[in-house]
Parts: sequence; structure tokens; C-alpha cells
Amino acid sequence: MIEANKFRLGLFVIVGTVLFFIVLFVFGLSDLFVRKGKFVSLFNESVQGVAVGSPVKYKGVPIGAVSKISIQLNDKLIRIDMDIDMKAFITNHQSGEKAISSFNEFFQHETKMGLRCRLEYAGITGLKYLELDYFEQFQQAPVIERPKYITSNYFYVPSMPSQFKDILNLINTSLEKISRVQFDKISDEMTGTLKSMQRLLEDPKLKTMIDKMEKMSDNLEKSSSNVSKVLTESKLREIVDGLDTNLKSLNGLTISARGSIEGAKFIETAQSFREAAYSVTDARQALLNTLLKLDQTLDSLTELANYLNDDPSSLLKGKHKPVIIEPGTK
Amino acid sequence: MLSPVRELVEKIGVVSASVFQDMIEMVCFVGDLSKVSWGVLRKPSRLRWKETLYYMDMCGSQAVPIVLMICFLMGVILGFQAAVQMRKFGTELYVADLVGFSILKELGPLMVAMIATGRAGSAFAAEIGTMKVNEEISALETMGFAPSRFLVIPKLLAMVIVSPVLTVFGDVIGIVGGFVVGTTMLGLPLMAYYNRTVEVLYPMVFLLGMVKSVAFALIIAVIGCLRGFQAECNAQGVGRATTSAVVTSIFLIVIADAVLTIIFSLMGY
Repeated sequence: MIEANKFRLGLFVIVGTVLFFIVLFVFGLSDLFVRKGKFVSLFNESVQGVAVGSPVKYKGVPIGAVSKISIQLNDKLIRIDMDIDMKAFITNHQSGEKAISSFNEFFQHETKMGLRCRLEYAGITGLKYLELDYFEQFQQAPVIERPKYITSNYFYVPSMPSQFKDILNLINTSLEKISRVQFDKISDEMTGTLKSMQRLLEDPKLKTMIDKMEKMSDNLEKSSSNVSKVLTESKLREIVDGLDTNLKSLNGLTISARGSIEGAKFIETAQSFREAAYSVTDARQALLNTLLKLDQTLDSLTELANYLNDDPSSLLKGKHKPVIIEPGTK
Repeated sequence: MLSPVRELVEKIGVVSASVFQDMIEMVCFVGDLSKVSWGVLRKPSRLRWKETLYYMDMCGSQAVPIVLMICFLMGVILGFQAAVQMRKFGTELYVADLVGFSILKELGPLMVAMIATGRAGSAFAAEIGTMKVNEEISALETMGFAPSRFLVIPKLLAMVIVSPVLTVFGDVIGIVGGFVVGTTMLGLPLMAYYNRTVEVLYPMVFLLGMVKSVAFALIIAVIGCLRGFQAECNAQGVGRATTSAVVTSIFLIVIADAVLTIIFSLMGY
């Protein structure tokens, strides 16, 4: 029997054992010595693509992994438990209860400020991860309130519907709207319209109209060619020259008219006219007064004539005195 | 003169009877080993430690260079093939996932088992077969010693101990092979590849590989020794026993790998 090389064998066993524990430590045994926060989120949608071990990220920074996925029978929500590596967060207190309380305070505050958990695609493979972030539409999204069965040693992060669900909702809404469109009615109306158009096109009047329009077009074309024949370039130039000469004459006339108008002393003339108008107005008023007086005179004369006609003797006797009856006379 | 059909049917019958007989002998051998192992467990002093250490050295420490080389090249090949395909989709970083999972879960234990079959399984069969030819086994039996306790248990124990250790070497160097491809050919940052590997692999993947390596070690040792005991008493018989040990071991290792993979999958790993 050949003896074993004990040094070689010992080296083999020692190195192998050390490697064994190093590999275990590197591939996750070290996690046993890491302090972890327990997070929980509830989802009302499919969580396909998420598995135990799927990453959890805060604004894209890996902070932990999914530790458990389960279904809550009482409310049919999907519960996802997460182990959050507290080493990923740097606090003023590096360890101990203070570090945990500051960690909890931070997340409680951030949840109130809109921190939400959402499923995100990790790539084209369909795998998903959980993203903790502040989403713009968090105020519109329905929030699943913290249920009573989640104990106080878990930190509850409300979830947000994933973008995929948003897209599905949008598609569903669009399809619903499309389904409301009465395609039969539209089709019937289009068929009727097409038939009417066909009848219109087959109408002989339309044909006559088109023939007339064609003739008009021909005539217009002929006229146009005639005009172009008559109005040669030289004639057009003559017309333009004539127009130019006329415009120059008009310009000269305007200048001379302006000179005449300026020489007419319109202000003084207008003053004279105004004074004359006043005089005429005064004269008119005097004439009116005269006529009024004349009218009164005529009335007096008429009254006198009537009086004399009733009592001619009054011309000699004078005006008749009225009889005054004394008291006690019969 | 037999008709060809009848001849074929007869051959099938002979082969079936032979396979059945072989299976019965295998079960009997396992039963005999269990009995002897129980006796050794009750009285560990009965174990021949010197021989056990010898076989540990022979099957373990002497196999390290070839295991390192084969597993490193396996990691390089895997990484290279994955890189060619994944580069088309811009997912080069996932080479770390592929290499890590493949090596730890399947190829590490499997390649170590293949090497051990070639080195140890054939050696066990040849050794016991030669002893049978020289009638040393008959002598042991005549003197009232159980040949299994003297000849099989040290080999079995040595294989069960060194196979997981060899697998650790194979796993580590295989991942290093993928790492070399990732950082040189793909130009991935050193730390990015390392972080990705650490991120996706978890201890259970590694431990499942260890479980497989133990199962493979048992198969190699048992089949190697069994074929040795079954060897015909001539030089050709030893050669045939050695060949049969290697072929049967590889066949059973592949079957065991499939069965274990299915079991682990059903367990959620």
C-alpha cells in the first residue's frame, strides 16, 4: 500500500474548507450578520415578474430584497415582505436603537411626503423590481391604508399602481369608448351619403352644368388670349406712361389748389360770415317782434271794429260805462 | 437456423435479463455496503484510516490540477458563448448570472464527477478487479473478512469527503473563468461583474451543488467497486470492468443529476 502524501492532503482539505466558507460568506452568509429593516407593501395588481430575492431600490439605489410574497385571504391583496439593508442608509447614529429610530422617522416622514412602492421592469426579460420613490401622480392614485394585521414591527409603505397597469387601464378605457361608437349607424349613414352622392353625380343637370362650366372656361381662356394679344407690352407701356403723365398733372394741380386755398384767407372770411350771420339773426328777431306787435295791433283793431259795429254811437259817446246796481234798488 | 426476428427478440430478452440481474446485484451490493457501513459507524476503529487517507489523497489532492484546468476552461467557454449571444441584446452583464448559476448548480459538480469517474472510478474497478484475478478477495472471504469493509468503505468515505471539496475548487475556478471573459472580452468593470455575481448567487445554490457532488461521489465509488467485484478472472475482464465502471457511472450520474434537479426545483430552488 502506497502511503498518502499527508502534507498535500492536508493542504487540499484546508484550502478546500476555507474556500467553502469564503464562498458561502460571499454569496450571502454575510447577510446573517447585517441588521435589516422589515418593510411590507400591499398590491392590488398582478406581481408577476417579482420573486423572492428580487431587488428593492430607493431612487435606483439597491437597498434590499424581497423576502416573501403571499396573498392576504381577507382582502385578496398581494403582500410583499422586504428585507431592507440598513447599511445602505447613512445616519448620524451608526448603530444601536438611535440609528433604528432615525431610520424609522425618516421613512415615516417620507411616506407622508409621498414615498411610494411601485413595480418596475428590470429589463426586457419581464423581471421586475420594487422601486421606492416619489411619484408625481401619487395624490391621484388610490392608497391602500395600513391594515390592522400588519404588526408594528413592520414598516408599511403604500403602493402605487405600476405603469403597466396604467397603460392597461388606458387601453381598457379607450376600448370601452371605441365600443360605444355606433359603427352600424355610421355605416348606414355613410352608405346613404354615398348613394345620395351617386345620385347627384348621375343627375343630367350636373352634366349640363359641367358642360357649361367647361364652355365658360374655354371662353375665359379665349378672352384671356385676346386680352393678351391686344395688350402688348408696348401698349401697356404707353398706358403706364400716360398714367404717369396724368398723375404728374394731378400733382401740379393739387399744389396750385393748395396755394389758392392758402391765399383765400379763410379765417377772416369765416369771421365776416359769422358776423353777417349774427346780424341776420338779430334782424330776424327784430322782424319777429315787429310782426308780433303788428299782430297785436291787428287784434286791437279787429276788436275795435267789432265794438263799433255793435255800437256805432260809441264813436261819438265814447266807451259805454257799465250799470252798477245799488243795494236796495228794484 | 433462427429467423432474424426471433434472434432479435432473444437478444432483447438476454440483454433485459442481464440488466435486471445487474440491477439486482447492485441493490444487493448497496445492501451489503449499508450493513458494513453501519458496523463501521458503530465502531469507527474498524475503519482503515490509513487507506482512507490514501484514497483521499489519490482522488482529491492529486485531482486538483485537472479539476482546476477543466473547470476554468468550462467557465471561459460558458462565458464566451453567453457573451456572443448576450452582446446582441446589450445584456452582457447577465453573463455573470449565467456562468454563476450554471457552474454552481450544474457544471461544477458534474465536471468534477466526470473527472473523478475517469480517475477514481476506473481505478477502483481496476484495483478490485485485479485483486479478484489474483484471488485476494477469495482469500479475504476464506479468512472470514468482509471484503466490502476492507476494500469499499475507505474508497467510499474518501470519495464522499473529497468530492465536495473538489467541487468547491471547481466552482470557484469556473466562476473565475467567466470573470476573465467578462472583464477582458466584454470589457465589463471588474467590480460590476463581481457585484453582479454576488448579487444573484445565494448560499443555497452553492449548497445544492455540494449535495449533488456527494450523490455523485457515492455513485462513482459504489459503481467502481461493484464493477471490480464483477470482473471476470482474466486480464480482459479487468479492462472490461474498468470500461463498464466509467460508462455506468457517467450514465447514473446524469440520471441522478436530472432527478436531483427536478427534486430541487419542486422544493423551490
